[in-house]
Amino acid sequence: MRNWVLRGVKKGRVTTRFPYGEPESVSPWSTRPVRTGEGDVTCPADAIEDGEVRMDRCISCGRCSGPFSPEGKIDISVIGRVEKRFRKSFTVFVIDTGSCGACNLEVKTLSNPIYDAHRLGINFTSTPRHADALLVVGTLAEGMKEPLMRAYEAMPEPKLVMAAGTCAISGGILGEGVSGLLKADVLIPGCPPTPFTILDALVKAKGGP
Amino acid sequence: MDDSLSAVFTIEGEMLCVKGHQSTRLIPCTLQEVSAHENSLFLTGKADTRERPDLFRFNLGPVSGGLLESVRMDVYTDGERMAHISPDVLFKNRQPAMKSSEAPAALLKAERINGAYSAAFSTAFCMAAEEIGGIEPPHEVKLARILMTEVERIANHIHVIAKLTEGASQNVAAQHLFALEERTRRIASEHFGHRYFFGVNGIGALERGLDTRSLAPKVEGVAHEFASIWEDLTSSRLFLDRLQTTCRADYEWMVGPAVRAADFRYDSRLSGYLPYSDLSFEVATDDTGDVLSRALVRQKEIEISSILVDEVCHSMKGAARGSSEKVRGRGWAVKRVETPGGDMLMLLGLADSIVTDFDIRSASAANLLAFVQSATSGILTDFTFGWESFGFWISELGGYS
Amino acid sequence: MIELLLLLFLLPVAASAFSKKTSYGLSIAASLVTAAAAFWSIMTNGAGESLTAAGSLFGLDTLSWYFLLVGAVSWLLTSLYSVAYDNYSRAVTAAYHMAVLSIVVVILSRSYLPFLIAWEGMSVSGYFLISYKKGTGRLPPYVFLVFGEVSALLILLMFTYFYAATGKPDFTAAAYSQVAVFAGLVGFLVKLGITPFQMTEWLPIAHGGAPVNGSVLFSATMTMASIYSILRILTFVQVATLTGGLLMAIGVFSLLFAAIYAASSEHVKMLPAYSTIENSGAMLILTGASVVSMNSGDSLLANFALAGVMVYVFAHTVSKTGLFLFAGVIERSSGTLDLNRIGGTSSGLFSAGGLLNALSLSGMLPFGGGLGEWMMLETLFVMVTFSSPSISVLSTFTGAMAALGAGITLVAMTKFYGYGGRVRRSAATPARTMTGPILAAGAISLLIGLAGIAVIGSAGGVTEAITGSSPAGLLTGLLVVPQGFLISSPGPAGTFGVVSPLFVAALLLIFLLLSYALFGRKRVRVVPVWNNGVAREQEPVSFAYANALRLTLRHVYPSGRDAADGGPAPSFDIFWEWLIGVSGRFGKASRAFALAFMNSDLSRYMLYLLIAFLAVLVYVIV
Repeated sequence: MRNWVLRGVKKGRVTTRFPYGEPESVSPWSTRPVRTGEGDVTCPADAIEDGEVRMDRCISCGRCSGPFSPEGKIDISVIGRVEKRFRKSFTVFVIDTGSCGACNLEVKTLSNPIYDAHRLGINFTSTPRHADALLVVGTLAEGMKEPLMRAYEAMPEPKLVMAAGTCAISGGILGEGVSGLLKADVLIPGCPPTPFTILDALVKAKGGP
Repeated sequence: MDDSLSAVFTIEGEMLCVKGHQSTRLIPCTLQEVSAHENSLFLTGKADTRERPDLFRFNLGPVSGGLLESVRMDVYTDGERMAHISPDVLFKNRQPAMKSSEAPAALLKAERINGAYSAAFSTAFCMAAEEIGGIEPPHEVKLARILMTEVERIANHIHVIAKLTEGASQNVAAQHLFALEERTRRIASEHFGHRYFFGVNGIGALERGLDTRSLAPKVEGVAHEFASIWEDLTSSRLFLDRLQTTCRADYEWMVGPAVRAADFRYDSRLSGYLPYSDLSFEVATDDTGDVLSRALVRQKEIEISSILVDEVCHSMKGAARGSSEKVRGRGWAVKRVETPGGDMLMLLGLADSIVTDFDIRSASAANLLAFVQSATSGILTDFTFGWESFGFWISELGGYS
Repeated sequence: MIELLLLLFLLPVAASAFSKKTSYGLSIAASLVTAAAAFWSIMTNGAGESLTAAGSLFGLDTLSWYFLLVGAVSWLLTSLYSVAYDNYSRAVTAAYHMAVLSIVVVILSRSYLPFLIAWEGMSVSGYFLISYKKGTGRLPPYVFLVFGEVSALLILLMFTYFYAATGKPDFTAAAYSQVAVFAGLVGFLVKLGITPFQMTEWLPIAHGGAPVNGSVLFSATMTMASIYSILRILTFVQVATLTGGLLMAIGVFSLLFAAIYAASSEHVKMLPAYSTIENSGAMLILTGASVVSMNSGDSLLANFALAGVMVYVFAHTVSKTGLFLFAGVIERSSGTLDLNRIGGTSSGLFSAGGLLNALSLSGMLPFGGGLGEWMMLETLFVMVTFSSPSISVLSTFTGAMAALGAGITLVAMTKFYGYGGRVRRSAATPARTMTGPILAAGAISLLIGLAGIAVIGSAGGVTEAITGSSPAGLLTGLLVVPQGFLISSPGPAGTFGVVSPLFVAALLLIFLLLSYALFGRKRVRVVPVWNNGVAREQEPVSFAYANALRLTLRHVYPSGRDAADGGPAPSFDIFWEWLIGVSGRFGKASRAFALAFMNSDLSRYMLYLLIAFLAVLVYVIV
């Protein structure tokens, strides 16, 4: 109680400049690995095709390090649809269909003062009834198929479906992705995608900051 | 010393168990013991769902806002009291295909069982594989594992306390703590290449070269800031009131911060699976067993872990990068590793580098019954505190194929 | 006219010996004629009084006409409903018509003896209505009869005293002893089922297995007869302020207790029965308040309070009739009295009928019940400003408790309707002749509220007869509210009031139509209930609905969660528990006595006593 205000003032601004400036910290192995050297690699996720890493399968394990090194760019998402009506206010409902928990933490961290997604008009809701977008994390577990469809049905139109993390996109090495049930409009790769990547995709999907 | 059943594993159709808080020895056990154990884990289907005319049953989850993961809790209430809680944890059960994959690939799956505890999980997997293959990893690798698991512990403990703080509506403090958690994850990303230590651990080696210079002061900075936030936080009567006497659990069969908060000195790090005895490691305990005690144990452990990180960094010369070795030989190994949530047992069976058996008894599985029992007869608003204080991860519950 | 009325209501009794349908047809006709005559008489400001034949035994004034109208509406709806519903024996039908006749006689009586005979007739026909069924235990009919006799005895005492004081056999104004007046009033209160005599209200309804038209009779029109009787006493007896205050205290005690018991009741018929006690309590408060105001010199407020009684009694009688008819259908179609296991109904129209009546009984505006409740609370509110500190304190406490009780009533009624009125495709469809009266009762309850100013206006004759002063000034206007559309409650500290529900409803309707014209119909998409990702499978339990109340007031409810198996036993009326204990011991003793000295069946003996008592009364008159 005593000095929370003082502590806040002393701490100064912690919030990132992103998306108006560059990200302050990028977790290297969550970005796209690109070939920088010679040598054979076997990818445990079968993500390398014709010398290129397919981000929908890459699990950011770094087993290709050496011949490959991380690019360090966070804007690796595939934005299949932009819904400009959500620009000023974008409410996201997160559903965990079978994740390891890392994606959940990365989405959760967007609400802290460092990322402060609220300043960009992005809010997280606890019911699909108020949601503009469904953010799916994790592989599609059998038991979560019904809840996922119920959540999707409960959402008002227009609605976006976003798959965050390799598990949700393709299932990665652990199972199947969400595509069996829903077509994802926005794909956010990474294992887990860094918070900046998720934030970038959210901002782009709603038509800009 | 408590020698209750802590895990049951099935190897080639035979049920074997591990008893006590330190042992990793597989011994035969009776069917009675096994069924009692399985009931306590809530993995044999839904628990008691009797209907009583005076109780309202409502379901929290599987998908609700307050919970980070998908889990269903049927809460029976007669107004404000929780008369009974019946969890259903299998909604998001992924059944990862561990068997018949190669050990190095299985390691990647093992570290993705619970992303938040991935350093501990990968360490357990690697140690088990090393034991089967008779590989002795270099000392530097062991130290690196200590570094990873302790930084992971700090991040998770901060997360748990932040969630408790958020539950108590101490929002300013909660945001300071969440920002601090993020700072810790960034430290991990800078020094280990990944915010959740994915792809770092390897069997007999480290998959990546590590740069541990300047790690210690950064971790110390986090611990220092945490201590100062905690000091201000605990000067709030409102905060303490919500935590004190809430969800008291003093069962000896619990694990992790929960059992230590009930004044039992159980910590699998004492068994020396990694060279903790060379360091000034001590077990943090508290004596009340309520939510506040569990938070206090976590608070002390953050401090202890930061000291361990400091000591390891000073004695480490920088670990060389290697590559996961092929594991020759055939056999089974059980490993205990202290995850941030508590003691986790992992069974690994390998036959010439191919996984034949895999199972875990996670800290969440061990503590779930303690939550159900301690929250029962509390009031509905205690739910959050009880749940968060144990630091459950649903991802580590469920089966493997 | 009086002879005609008596004949009209005597015919169904006679006809029931031959055909049930004919008897109900005759009853419908009698009710229609009575209602029309009463309506005409009230509208023409007492023209019906000229119909009064000379003589002192019976009479017809505005008070009688008003209650005849209220009763006739209830009997009309019940008889219409019974044509399709009644599958009981002819004796039961006869008992029902007999009871109606008794009530008519009570309302028409201007003399002690016919009044007492009719009062006794009510008890006896009630006794037959309850005890006809084979499965009925011995105790309920006896208890009902015992309380009926206690009531009759107390009234007899009062009338005997009146007769002794004046030497006249008919109702005559004089200065009477307050002790005798109070004793007589208690006689009426016992019949009303006021706390702690609650069992006289719910017992016959819940345990007797009486047909639903009997339940309506006990709950709606017998209650109405008691209220009528108290008002009748007020027309010629000066009641002291203390007695008025006592009425208020007894009333609010009943209101609160009955509301609590209603909210926690799981019984399809007991819940509305408790609600009747709650309403009786409210009417008693208003009656007491009018006495206190009259004696304090505020006769306009006394008029206001009495007008409140009139609104209340009309609204309650009609909507309680509707609610019991509703309960009769859902009970029969699901074969249980347990609210939790009631199957509901498949007809939305039928369910809507139940809703309208439940809304009125829960005190919602613009229903009649809501208007009555507002008038009660308003009266108490104004009385706080009286100069006498004791009256201020009394009205403050009464008002606070009444408001609390009114809130709990809402729990009871939402529970009753919420569980009883569930619309389910699988449930049975009730006959149209059964749905119609229920809907009609609901519509009339709504009309009583909407046309509240007309009811208050037409009750003016009654209130003036009791207070002796003009009710002019109750209906006024203010600012945009036209003259006559503001119901004001004048008190010493200035005038308060409420805008007539009709005016509010008209305004709402205008805005509703306006917004519809402007924006049109909204597009609607129906989606399944969001239940955290799974299908809604929980059935909210009616027992748990009131459990918070049960836990908070666990000392009022004798049985709690500590019953067998950790589960709770349904809570029960403490007054009843106590009575069971006492009567168990008394019953043993008297049975021993009977066996030792009379060597015959006790029930036959009781019946013999009753008939003998009636015969003696008739003999005395003749």
